Amino acid sequence: MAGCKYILFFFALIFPLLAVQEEIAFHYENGMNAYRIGQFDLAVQEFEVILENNWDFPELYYNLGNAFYRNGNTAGAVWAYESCLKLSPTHTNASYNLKLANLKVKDRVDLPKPPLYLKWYLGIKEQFTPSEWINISLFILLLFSLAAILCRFLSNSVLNNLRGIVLSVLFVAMFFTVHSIWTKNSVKEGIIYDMKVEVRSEPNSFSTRLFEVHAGLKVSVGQISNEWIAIELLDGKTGWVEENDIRLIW
Amino acid sequence: MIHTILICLLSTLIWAESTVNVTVDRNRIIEGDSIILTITAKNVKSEPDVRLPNLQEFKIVSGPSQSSSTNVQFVNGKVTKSSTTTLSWTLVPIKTGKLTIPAMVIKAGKQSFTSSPVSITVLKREDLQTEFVSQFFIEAELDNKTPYRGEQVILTYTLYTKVDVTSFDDKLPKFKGFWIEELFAPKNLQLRESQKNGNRFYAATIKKIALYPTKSGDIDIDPMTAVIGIREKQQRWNDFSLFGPPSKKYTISTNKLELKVQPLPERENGKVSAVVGNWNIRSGMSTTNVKQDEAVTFQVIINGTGNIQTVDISNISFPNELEIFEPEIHIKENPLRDKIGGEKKFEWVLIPRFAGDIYIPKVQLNYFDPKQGKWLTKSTARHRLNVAPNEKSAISSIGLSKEEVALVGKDIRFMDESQSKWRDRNSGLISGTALTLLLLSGMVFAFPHAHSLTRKRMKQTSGGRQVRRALKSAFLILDSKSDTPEEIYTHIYKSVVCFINHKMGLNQVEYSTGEIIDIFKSRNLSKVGESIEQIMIRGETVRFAPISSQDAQNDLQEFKILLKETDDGWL
Repeated sequence: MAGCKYILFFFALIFPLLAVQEEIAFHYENGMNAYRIGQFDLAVQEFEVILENNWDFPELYYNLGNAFYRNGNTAGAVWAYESCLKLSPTHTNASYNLKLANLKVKDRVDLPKPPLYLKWYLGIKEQFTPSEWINISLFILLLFSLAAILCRFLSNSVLNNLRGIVLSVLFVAMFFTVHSIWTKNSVKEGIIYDMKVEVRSEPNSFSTRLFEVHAGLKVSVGQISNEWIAIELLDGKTGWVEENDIRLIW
Repeated sequence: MIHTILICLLSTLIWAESTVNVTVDRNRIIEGDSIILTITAKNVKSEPDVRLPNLQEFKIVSGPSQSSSTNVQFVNGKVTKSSTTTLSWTLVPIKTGKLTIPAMVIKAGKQSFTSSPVSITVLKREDLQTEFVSQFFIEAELDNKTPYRGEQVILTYTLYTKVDVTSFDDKLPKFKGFWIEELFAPKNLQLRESQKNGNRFYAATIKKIALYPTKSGDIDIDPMTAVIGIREKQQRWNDFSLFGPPSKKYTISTNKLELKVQPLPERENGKVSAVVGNWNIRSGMSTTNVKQDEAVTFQVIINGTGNIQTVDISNISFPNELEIFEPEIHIKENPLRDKIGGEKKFEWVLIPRFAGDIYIPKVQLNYFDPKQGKWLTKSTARHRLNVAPNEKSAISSIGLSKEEVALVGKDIRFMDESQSKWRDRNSGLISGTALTLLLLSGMVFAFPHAHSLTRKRMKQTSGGRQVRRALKSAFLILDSKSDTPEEIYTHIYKSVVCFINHKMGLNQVEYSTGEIIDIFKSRNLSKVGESIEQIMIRGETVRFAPISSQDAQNDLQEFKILLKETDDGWL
């Protein structure tokens, strides 16, 4: 009897989740079909419904980006591709399409090329998401534990060296993990969503107009105050824009 | 003297009786005509306070206009004073049939008067007999009463008159639910002969308005009212009058109009837009052969009928190789015709930044054609721009990197149809895999420590285990096969040695009988020790003084009992 109760409780927990996933899958399929027949507006609508329900996966953002791109919404496309790469940094198609979408962005911020070591470092770090970095670190920790055990029981110089190497790799992986988590939690980014946005010196519409940015530009996002958001451009320019003019990347 | 006469007169002053009347100038009118509602208060001591009831069947065009007069009469030495206050409103009926102005309560100082309801018959113009035809009226007409949303509808106001009109002052209603554009509004009335309901009139178009419904459903257009001046026939106009011919003003109105606006139908395939009408689209380029960084002009011209303001194609997706400037938009309307429309020209200046063939895509115009009742798409031709290289210009003239230049003209990669792996957007960084790996790592790390701990503990408790096993080990020796008394006593000796070794954690091979007895004594087992000593002494002498097997067996059994007692009493 008690067993039946547990089974019922389990199904009561599982069924709503399955129903939600089924509904989400239905919207996704509708969006894909709409895209196939060229109804990109409808495809965008269907994909957005899924996001409103707080479900996603990298390919959803990728396909949403394509629908936005086909629909002529460059800002939407840039946002979606960036979101896809945030979840799956090695998504080569999203990376390629993002480059194409960025060609249509009016604002171009040219920065001096970073030193090679920094480029490599960031290249490695951005290969994986923070969650993947955690998994990698823990996997190396497991390898190190095994190596440590083998060294304890089998006194072997090769094993000792291997243990040292694994420990070094573990430290490096942990450094990347910590940096990746810190970046995720502290660096928020967004895409300018309106065609032309005036950036102001203070979070109000009567403050000094500093400069203009255009749809599709990726910016760093700072504090939020009364429906205004502080932004920082790649070249260091800062200012405030209205919350509605920007779409944050999750 | 004068003062005395005045006082005498006032003392004989008589006020006439107070009355309040509500009247209308006509009780039988034709639709579109107005009536004048008049409230006449006679001999009331203060101003009448009139609040008109809710006149749902009438529209108040003007009023109230107020006039007062006082009359003092001397008749046979008596002075009679009468005063009259008149309030009047101009009302236009908004319905036909028998209409009623409800009873009104009119207060004048402390007095209160209640009027009777007034009935007015409003006749439909088309039902009229020829002898009862109004001399002048205005009519509103729609060319289409069931348009689609956004479709042009023409509203025409026409004045019909049989008499001389000296002036005309109209007041248009508010066209709620429409975007409007005036098509025709003459400064002077241009009369023409016209037949209306079998009667001859002079007709003049007052106004022609293009209406574009901005919503679907039933929409009412309120009547237009006008004040019309009609030349008086009886009076002869003085040629030298500065004020022109004498005329009388009348207020008239049009009928109320109702439209049933149909929503635009859904389009199964293709895009929809807000553009409704009948349109054509064409495009052209100033030149198709151009040098890199030289400007060319690209034009898209849309012409036709409909609301040209809604036509917009400025958001064209041009190729990335082109630098695009904001388009110039020119609108040329043709308002002389009844159907509004015209030509909208979009002109872009394009600068090709790369050499080679650049294709300007087709420009599509999606619109709804109300005549055909369906959505249509018309598009321009695709243009090829042959761009010759400009050696002087740098490759990255618009700030593109080499990698970006390589991407120019390419298209995005197709959609990803791989299996969906849904993820809750609010999920944390630590996944199930991470937890498993963490657990495994912990277990592997803990293993050697746990192992050594177990061994240490085993070692620590090995003495205790040996002590517990002492009796068992000794009994194992005693129970082993022994045929002769010598063998039995040898086993007894070995079992004692084994017992002591286990109990004391020692590993000696042999003990003398004295040593064994001392050990037993030290453990407060003197009595048992003595019995064991006797058995052991018998064992030592067995080689010299043979003992029967039965005695040896008895000693063995006794030794077992003693050994058990020893185990129980071992400290």
